Amino acid sequence: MADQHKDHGSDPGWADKPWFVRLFSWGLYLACALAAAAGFFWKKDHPHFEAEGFPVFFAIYGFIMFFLIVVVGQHLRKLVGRKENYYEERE
Amino acid sequence: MPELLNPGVIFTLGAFVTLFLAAGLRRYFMLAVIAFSATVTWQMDLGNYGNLQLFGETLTVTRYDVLSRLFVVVFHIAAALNVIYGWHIKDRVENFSALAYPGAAMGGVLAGDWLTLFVWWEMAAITSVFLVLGPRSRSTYMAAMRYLAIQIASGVLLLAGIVLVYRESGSLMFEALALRNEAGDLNFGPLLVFIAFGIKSAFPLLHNWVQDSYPKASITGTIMLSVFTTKLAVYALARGFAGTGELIWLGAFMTLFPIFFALIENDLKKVLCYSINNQVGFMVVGIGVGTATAVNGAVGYAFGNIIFESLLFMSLGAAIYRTGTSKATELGGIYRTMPLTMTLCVVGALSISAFPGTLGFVTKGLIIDGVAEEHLMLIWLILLFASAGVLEHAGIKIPFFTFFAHDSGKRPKEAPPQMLIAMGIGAVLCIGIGLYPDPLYALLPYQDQIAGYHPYTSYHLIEQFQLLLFAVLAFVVLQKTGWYPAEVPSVNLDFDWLYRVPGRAFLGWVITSVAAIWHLVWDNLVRFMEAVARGLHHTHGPEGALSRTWPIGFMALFTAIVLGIMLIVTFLI
Amino acid sequence: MIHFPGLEHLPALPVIIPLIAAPFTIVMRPGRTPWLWATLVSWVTFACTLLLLEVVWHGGPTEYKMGGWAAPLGITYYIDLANALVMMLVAAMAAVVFPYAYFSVKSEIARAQSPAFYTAMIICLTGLLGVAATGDAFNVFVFLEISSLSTYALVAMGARRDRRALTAAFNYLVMGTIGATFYVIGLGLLYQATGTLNMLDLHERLAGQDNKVVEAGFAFIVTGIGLKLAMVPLHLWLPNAYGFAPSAVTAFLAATATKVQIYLMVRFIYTVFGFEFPFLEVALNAFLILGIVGMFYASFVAVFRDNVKQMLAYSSVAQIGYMLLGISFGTVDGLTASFVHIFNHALIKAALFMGVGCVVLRIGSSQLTAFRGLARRMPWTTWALVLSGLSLIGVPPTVGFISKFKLMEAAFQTTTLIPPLLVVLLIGASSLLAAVYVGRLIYTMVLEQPPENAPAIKEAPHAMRVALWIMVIANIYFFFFTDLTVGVATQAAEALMCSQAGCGGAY
Repeated sequence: MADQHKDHGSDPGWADKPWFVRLFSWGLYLACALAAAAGFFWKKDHPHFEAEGFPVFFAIYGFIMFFLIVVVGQHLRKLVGRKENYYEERE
Repeated sequence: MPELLNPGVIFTLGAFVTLFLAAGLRRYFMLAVIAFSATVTWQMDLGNYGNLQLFGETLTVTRYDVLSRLFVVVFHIAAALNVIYGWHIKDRVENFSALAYPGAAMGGVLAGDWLTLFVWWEMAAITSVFLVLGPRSRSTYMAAMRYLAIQIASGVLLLAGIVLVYRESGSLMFEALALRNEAGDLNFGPLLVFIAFGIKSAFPLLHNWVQDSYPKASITGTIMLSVFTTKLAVYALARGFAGTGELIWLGAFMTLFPIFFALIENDLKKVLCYSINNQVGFMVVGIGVGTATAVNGAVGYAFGNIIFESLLFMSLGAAIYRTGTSKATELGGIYRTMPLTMTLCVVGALSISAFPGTLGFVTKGLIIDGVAEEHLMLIWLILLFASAGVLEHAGIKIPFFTFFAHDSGKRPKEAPPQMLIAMGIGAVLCIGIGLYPDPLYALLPYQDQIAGYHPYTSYHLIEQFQLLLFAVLAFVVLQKTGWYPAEVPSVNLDFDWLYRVPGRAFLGWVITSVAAIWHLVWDNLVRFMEAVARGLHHTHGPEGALSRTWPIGFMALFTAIVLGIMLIVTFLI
Repeated sequence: MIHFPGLEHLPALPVIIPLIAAPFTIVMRPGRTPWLWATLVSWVTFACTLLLLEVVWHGGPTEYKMGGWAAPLGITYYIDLANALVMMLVAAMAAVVFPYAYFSVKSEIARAQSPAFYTAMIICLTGLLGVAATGDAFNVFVFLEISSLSTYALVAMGARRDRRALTAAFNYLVMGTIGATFYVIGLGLLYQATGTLNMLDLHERLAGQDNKVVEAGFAFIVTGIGLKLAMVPLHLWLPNAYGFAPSAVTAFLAATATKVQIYLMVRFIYTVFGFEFPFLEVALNAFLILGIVGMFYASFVAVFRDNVKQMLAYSSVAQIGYMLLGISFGTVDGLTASFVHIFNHALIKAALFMGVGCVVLRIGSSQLTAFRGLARRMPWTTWALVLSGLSLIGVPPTVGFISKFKLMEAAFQTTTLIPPLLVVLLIGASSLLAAVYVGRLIYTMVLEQPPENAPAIKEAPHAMRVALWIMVIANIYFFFFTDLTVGVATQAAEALMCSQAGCGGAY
């Protein structure tokens, strides 16, 4: 998996080796493609909601929601983030 | 076998025996107690046992039915895992709690009447506070006191509610309550009980004791705390308020807000605490929907959650045990030397995210299906959203920041064997039940309904794979683009800020101002009294002994004042 | 049962036996003999009160004419369930505390003083039983003084350990005397209005007399007894008196003295006066407010006390608040709750003070610091303190829970100045305060480490431990078996309410 920080030592573990990162990424892309494709072949018999009938509804919903959580959620830190000893100073 | 001997009682008695045992002997004894209790439970038929007479009311100490059975089973498993995991723990208090606290939770689950429930409810509060106190520093002391106050407040509300309910219905049996009457107005007694349950199950705004106290306990203490209190409350809600519409929205909100707090939280222990809130939210929604599928889902998910949430806590705990920190900024890269712990943690993470083939998948689906069957579209979307959130903070953040992410340079040893064994059992349960859910399904309360349920349908699989894989894809994209926020050491304010900072300041202000006024009044009064006494003394007696006698004069003055008031009032009426 | 010879004197025996036994004690050889004698006396007395309770329970109220003189001229003892219960309680506490006292007294009081000590204890017992037994209002005063005077002496005997006991005893003496004087002044006023001192007679002749004399008499009597029972704000004598008295004395007094006064207050309010008087409502409202103020004020003080004896003494003041609260409801349930709490609180406080006595004996201090890490040093004492502390908070399965439950139940059906629900919540909130100060004690004992250089100490002697644990077990026993407490208290309360509502057969 990609790493946003610099490594400390000179011993990248197996998970940091480029081949693994590449393998993982491509494996994931393939799995995603398969899951999305499968949505077109198998349909729910009695959908409760219209959205369930849309073949890649869950894929799109999952992607966007995860994206939103991370992109929007991090701004919460500006609102509520404090120094680590915030409470200790006050108790 | 005496009628009163149920698992709650056995555990509690066992806990008191541990106090007198040598440290090395205790752990064997604890396992023996759990095994004995499990045997007793195994041989018990469904039904009511242990009827006691009190105040002319019949108390039912043990109600062993399909609903309580499931919780008793999983509490046994969790208690056993905790003992194994904490095999190295020699602390007397913690060993005591390791039996007494699960015992109290099981006693509460088995309680057939309100009073018995209340007794165990308070016992659970008291026996668990020792876990929060565990590390015995000032900050844990303060947190423990806050924890105890909130838990006891829950008990007091429960008692008040019980008195009201008893007055109305004349029965002490712990049965379902109606939160609203036919006209739609709130019933006050049930409302108090509802709030009491709500505090323990950490409803929104009542939730903060979890994040405040749990991370302050010792590693093993946190794991134990994460299991019992909130799940006892989930059981109580399922028993008392199944089908109460308000729960749906409360639960949906509970699944939402922790996601964001967990995202920005740096302390991974706290991340998991937020995860507890979020997970209990799913169960609360299921209970609120109240249909057979949804309630099956809620209690089944409680079962599953206890296993995989513990597994996550245990693997994080092992990392903390070896590295001494739970901060995301200080962990990372330790998969190199703790590969087994990492693998087990990933199993827990997959399970809590409900990947097919795991315990989470076969239980969570029931709740979401229950919501869909009732055509609650918005709730359904919220739960799917929350599922993506679970994946983010519990499924990815915990294993990723603990074991991968940036290399902290730490090269700790692999977790000790007892921890690996406990985690291993948890992981086997996660995958075993995930692939072959029938034994768990056989424990669910609504058998007719579950008989026709198959989790591994093609559509179900596709839906879940799409949701989760694309969410992971989003994570990878965010990582590659660098938009995923870096962890920063910080403490994030939550609702508890209200009572920890302004509430405290307000209290301090009240106390100082009251004290100032009091001193003003008191000093003047004392000065006046001294003047009077000195004056009297000057004319009536010799010098000395003045300072010693005036307090009596003061008391006598009070007496005179009271007499005067009594006289005036009686005369005037 | 009637065929026992001498049984016709049974109502008087619990008072007569210790009264006659007391003078012998003073001439005994200092040391073990007076203690054995006092213990024997307390047990015999206890047996008599048990028998008496049994007779009254199944045979109804009994009446005993002293020397055969009929009321209102002669002194009459009326025993109904209310006094029988209180007498049994007082004698039971004596029967447990007296055996307990030996080692504690040996270490806290000069050997030469021991006959005087036990004499005073027996006299105090006589006085308390007499107050409860008698049906003559002036006789109450006499017994009140008998018990009070001996108590002053007993408190003063704490001076060997701490000189402040003398000041405490002196304060107590002055305040007690003021209380007694108020009582007797009030009684004088009532006598002036009615010409009788017999309680039943007083009730009959007071009917319809709503004048200034009776009103003043009422105010004096309520204030006088209020002072004796340490009603806030007349409680200031109590914490020091309990705090500095010898441990055994504290255990005995805390369990009995104020309880008897509460009984007396109930007796005056319900039997002698009654609801015909408009000022009774005033008194009940005053009890309500003062009770609640006491519950909170004294609990708050207790939280900040560093001397455990004083902390528990303030807690007693708070608990008196609960009893007054029960009385103030003016219902059978409320009165029942008060009686139940009188009984239960006696068990709780006796156990707690006895536990503290064990610590004082072995460590020599009742400061909170002395309790650090006590769980390792004196486990039996520690766990007894923990259990009775939980009982004080009201955690099941202990009697404290029964008390709180009955009180809350009673509070729900009343119509008072303050809304019932608020009263219930206030009771709950003050229990939280109890949880705080008891929690402080438990935390210190169980979770803190003993001081570094602490010398090894032995557990308390067997006699003390056994007595202590009898009390602790009673605290749990009476949670499960409430016939004696709730059952008798309910009947006693019904009889009292009935007497004032005029359904005949007072008492």
